[in-house]
Amino acid sequence: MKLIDYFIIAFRNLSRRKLRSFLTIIAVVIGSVSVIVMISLVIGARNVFMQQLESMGALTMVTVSRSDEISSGGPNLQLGGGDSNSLNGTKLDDAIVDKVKAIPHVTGVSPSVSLWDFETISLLGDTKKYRPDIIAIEPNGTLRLDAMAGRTLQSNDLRKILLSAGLAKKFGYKDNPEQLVGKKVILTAKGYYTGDGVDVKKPPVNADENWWKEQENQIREVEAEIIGVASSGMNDSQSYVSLDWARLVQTRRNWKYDDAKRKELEQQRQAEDEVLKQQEKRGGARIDWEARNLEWQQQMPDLMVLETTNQITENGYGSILANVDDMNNVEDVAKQVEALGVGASTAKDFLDSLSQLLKVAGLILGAIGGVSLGVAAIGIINTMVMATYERTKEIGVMRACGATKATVRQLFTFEAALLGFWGGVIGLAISFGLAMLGNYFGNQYLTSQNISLSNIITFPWWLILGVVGFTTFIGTLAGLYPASRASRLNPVEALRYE
Amino acid sequence: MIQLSGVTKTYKMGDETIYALNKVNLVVEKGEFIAIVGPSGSGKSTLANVIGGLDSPNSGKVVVEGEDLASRNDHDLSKYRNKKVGFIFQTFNLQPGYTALENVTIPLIFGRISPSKRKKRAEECLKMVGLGNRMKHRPNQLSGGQRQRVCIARALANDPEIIIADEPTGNLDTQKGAEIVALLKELNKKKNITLIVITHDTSVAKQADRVLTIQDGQIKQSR
Repeated sequence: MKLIDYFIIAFRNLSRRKLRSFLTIIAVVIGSVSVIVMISLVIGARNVFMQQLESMGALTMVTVSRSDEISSGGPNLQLGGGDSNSLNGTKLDDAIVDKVKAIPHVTGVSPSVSLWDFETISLLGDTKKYRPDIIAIEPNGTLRLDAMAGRTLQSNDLRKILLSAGLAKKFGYKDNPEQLVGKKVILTAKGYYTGDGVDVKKPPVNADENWWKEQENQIREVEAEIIGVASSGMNDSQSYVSLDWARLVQTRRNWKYDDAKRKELEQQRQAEDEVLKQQEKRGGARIDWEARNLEWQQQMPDLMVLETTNQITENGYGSILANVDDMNNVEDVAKQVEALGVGASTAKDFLDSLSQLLKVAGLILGAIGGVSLGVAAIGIINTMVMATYERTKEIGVMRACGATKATVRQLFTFEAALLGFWGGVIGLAISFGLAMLGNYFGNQYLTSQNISLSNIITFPWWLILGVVGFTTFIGTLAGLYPASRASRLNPVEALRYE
Repeated sequence: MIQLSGVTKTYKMGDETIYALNKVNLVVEKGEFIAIVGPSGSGKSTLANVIGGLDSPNSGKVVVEGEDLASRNDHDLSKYRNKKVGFIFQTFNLQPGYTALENVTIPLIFGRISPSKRKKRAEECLKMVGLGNRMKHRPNQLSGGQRQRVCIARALANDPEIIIADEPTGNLDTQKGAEIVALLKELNKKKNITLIVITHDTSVAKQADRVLTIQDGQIKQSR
């Protein structure tokens, strides 16, 4: 029997029981659609991640951190990150910045710190408070920041903030972020915050423990102007400020005694006291020691000076972002950064774990789809076993007319494979329709979110071939048992079958 | 020439062994018309099926044109049925969804004949049985006699040397049955096809060159 005849006869046999074949195929269709949808979701998610990373410049970014511990988070978490409290490793100071800048292929460098000083953020005139996630960067283009409303950061922006899309949404300006531009936000900090934007009260003469406690329990408020709303990228919860302002914010100011001057004055006073005491002893005028003491006390605040310490100078930057001219040079630059004795992480680590994660997700989702394909396979087995019962006599006639066991087996296997094949093809067509629909609505959503992405759901050619191939394979597999059953029928008994 | 020597075929029915054929010896000459008669369950069909290569004996030899069927595997036996034997059934066993022409092409498909030759040959066969004007009809559009003619045309498709007909007139009225037997006899004489007919009908048996009566798996009487 020729191959084309198998095709024609199998097709005709399936058409004889149209409804049953159709229902069997439907099961395969459901299975293949779910497999395709699951897999294309994973592929789509991957594409979105990649494009977002690319648009953020994260793929050509090397993040320099204090120690060479590899952060397990994504590149976003590393921005500005670098826990300021962990002071292990080399301090990230301007010397390191210059050294990183000097590495070949590095096109731009921006130190960054996390503004953990502020505990809440709220819109001026609004009582609702939110937890801010503020990163300070040098707005020199190293980290690509786009504003969907207002403008992006400039380096001399003091008390100005590029608000995150997430906060804009929380503030209730999801659809009209441009109305936020120019408005003020209130950032609050604990009492010990003595950075930019607050008055640091000089302790009075009678400052006691309670006075200090009161100061500490005060809530400091700093005002900042919204200059723009950041485009919602992969991380829409991060707000940005300039590094220049961060330097002021992270400058601590404390009133302290000028110890040298105090000692000098004290010695001077003691010497005077001594002279006065002698005079008193010799019978001079009596001295009002109490008044003199009080007078001395009154002088003390004048001895206080406002001492400033810059925490960034002290502890270094949280991290340093370095832009590399080409993705292929990223690893090379990272190695040279590590040679400086500091840590370097790239999107590669993140991408690796992302791929791993997506692979697992794909496997799980694929398995879910696989279950429905498994059910479909049982449907095919059922249909074909029923066909062998129904067509027992026909099988006898075929054998009498010269069909070998192999011919009968192949014919039934072919029919089952055809069921799988059509299930795959129809499933693909339906998935294609679903994808078009999904992309249509997806694009609308993305546009409304100001995300420059479109047609997220795509079918790579290997998925198309793979799915049709796989369902055909499943059909073939499901046909093996019924086909072997049909081929093993005794032709004499088959002919006698009623 | 067909030679059977010591052919035994048994079936198990529960604990009992039934001898469908019990040491049967038989010689059928090329071009002979043989009628096999006997009560049901006597082994008539088994004898025909063993000769036709559909069934194989437990012991004994079946030699057709000098070739021992017992030594052949499924592939060769299928080829033997395809090329040398034509089967005709009481219930016709036509494919209901196929036209008369398509039904006749079935053995040609298994014989790997090309589609154009298939069609030509099937048309020839249908004309031979007098159905030249019914080629596109489906079995349910044909009368019983016409259906049996399609069945005969199908048996003729690969120009066989033997035609085995199991109760070919069993589902037909007397007149149509007589026509069918006449057709078979004509083919037997004209084309020198060995014709083996299993029948209950004495009027059919009368026309045969030789009548074999089978009882309890043995040939009892031979005319």
